[in-house]
Amino acid sequence: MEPRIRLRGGAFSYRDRPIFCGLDLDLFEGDVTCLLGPNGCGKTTLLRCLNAILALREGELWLNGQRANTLSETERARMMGFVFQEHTIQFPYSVLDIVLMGRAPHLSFLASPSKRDREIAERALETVGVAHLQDQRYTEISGGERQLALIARALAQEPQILLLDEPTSHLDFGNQMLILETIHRLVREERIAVIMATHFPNHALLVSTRVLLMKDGGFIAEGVPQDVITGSHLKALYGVDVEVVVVGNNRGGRDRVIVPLMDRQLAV
Amino acid sequence: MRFDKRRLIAALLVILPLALAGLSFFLGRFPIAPATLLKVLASRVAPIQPDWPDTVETVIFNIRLPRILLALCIGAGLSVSGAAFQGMFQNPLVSPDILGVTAGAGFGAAIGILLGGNSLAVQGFALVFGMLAVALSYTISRVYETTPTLMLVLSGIVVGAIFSALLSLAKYVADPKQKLPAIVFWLMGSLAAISKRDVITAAPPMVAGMAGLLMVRWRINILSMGDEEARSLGIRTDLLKAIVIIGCTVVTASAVSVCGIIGWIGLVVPHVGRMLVGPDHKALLPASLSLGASYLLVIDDLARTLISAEIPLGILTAIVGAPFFAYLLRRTQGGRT
Repeated sequence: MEPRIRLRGGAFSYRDRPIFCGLDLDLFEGDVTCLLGPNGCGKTTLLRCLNAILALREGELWLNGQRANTLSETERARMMGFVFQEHTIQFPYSVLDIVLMGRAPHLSFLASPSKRDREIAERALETVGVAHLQDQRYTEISGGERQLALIARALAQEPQILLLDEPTSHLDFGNQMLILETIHRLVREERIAVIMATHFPNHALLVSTRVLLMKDGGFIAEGVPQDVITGSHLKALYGVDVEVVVVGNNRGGRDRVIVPLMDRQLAV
Repeated sequence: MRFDKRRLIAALLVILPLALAGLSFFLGRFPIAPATLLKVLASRVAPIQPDWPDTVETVIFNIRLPRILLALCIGAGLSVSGAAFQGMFQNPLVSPDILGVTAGAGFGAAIGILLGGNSLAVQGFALVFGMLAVALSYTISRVYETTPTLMLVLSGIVVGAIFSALLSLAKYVADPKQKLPAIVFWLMGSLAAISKRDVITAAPPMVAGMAGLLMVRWRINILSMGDEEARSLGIRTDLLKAIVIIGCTVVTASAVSVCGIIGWIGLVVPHVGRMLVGPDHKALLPASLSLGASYLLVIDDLARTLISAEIPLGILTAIVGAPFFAYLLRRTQGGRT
């Protein structure tokens, strides 16, 4: 099977400051790859390079078997959607207006969205379960709803690849699970391949099929979550002692859970 | 229900400037009866035996018509440019002169006046220097073959400062009896000296620039999400920004070159537009066009009828516009109806 994304020897630097180098990565249909690593390790930069918003300094990137630098902006945006961290915006667009922006790569330069584009955008909102918000102002909905709207916008691009940058940060517990379940469903039902950067090892254990541990601009380990998310790896990544606990889940199986161990003396 | 309200607003926005234009024909020191106006206008397309003095025809075609047309066109142009720039710069405080076009045009006009040029020369100098200022801002802001928005704003401020200083220098060296007042009056903005020729030289580029902006108006929404998001959505941001900048500059420089500096409209009209039709630029740009055309026409009508002398437009747009805008702001609590 041809990988959706193939990266070989990827390197990037801001002026003289290297961010990452020598990265290899393959993403296949049905994959949910989680990118774990401390702040500043280059996760977000890597996602931006994969999305070709930033240009790799070295290395080769293929999207659906085509070299990324031979693709036009629109061709790339039809293959791949990028879900940015939810943020506030200047103008109070309606949620539907925001999602409609995802139709841009399917429209000619001077065109604006048609009735059909509107239907696709509404369906994207339905897919992530927030169809009722379409007429609300994006600036007045909650952070979780904004994140779902941004996922819907990426879906309106009708992509085969979805990149998500810390989609569960800043969200409450319920919304974190809502986003994870949505991602899980998209991969199974819409046959989308996902890479997401996250700060939560437990989230990687819940949804990912593959995990990449990133530190100081390189991958220190990769593989299936059960093998990779271990006490020693997390200690190396974050300098935190953890306990890996196995618990029964609601499907009759067993899940691994990461419990951080806090230094009680410091926490007095 | 909501859809009907939208339709009603759209219909009103189409009718408003047309109705005001019709009314404006009757304003002025020379009285014209409605029947005469209709007959004179009809005589251009139908064979009607003139039963009116020649002066009537001169007033209508050589004085009022050009003035009405240019007021509509300039008001529309400045407002559409303002709306487009506010979207592109992701900042509702931006006005069309953010890249230094008015500072450049002001300096150009001053040079034209200093050199003793006629009105056409002054217009030409203003146009060229206005565009030059924007080209300079754009060039300064290019880094790594992209034009980050913040760099554009900053280089616009730099270029604006340079041309403002040069304008001060031009005023300082100008003959205080004749040329200095001419420069000062030019800077206050007026349509008093408008002729048919001005319509022919200034209206086509303004219409073309507005057409360009209207064609990409939906994409301005995406541009307003920021460079990275826009590029991720498949937008060639540099191309789109260049189109918006060129469109706004052609419109603003042409407007400023015929009527002098008229501030305020490009900043405020888009806000009124947003209160009426919402932030979506697909609706906002046409709404700004209609509102801006109507607003400047009303202001110019006041400028030529309020007192026996002409009042500079730059003064009226702010004196009439600012309290009105303050009232709207209070009523809508900052545009969040």
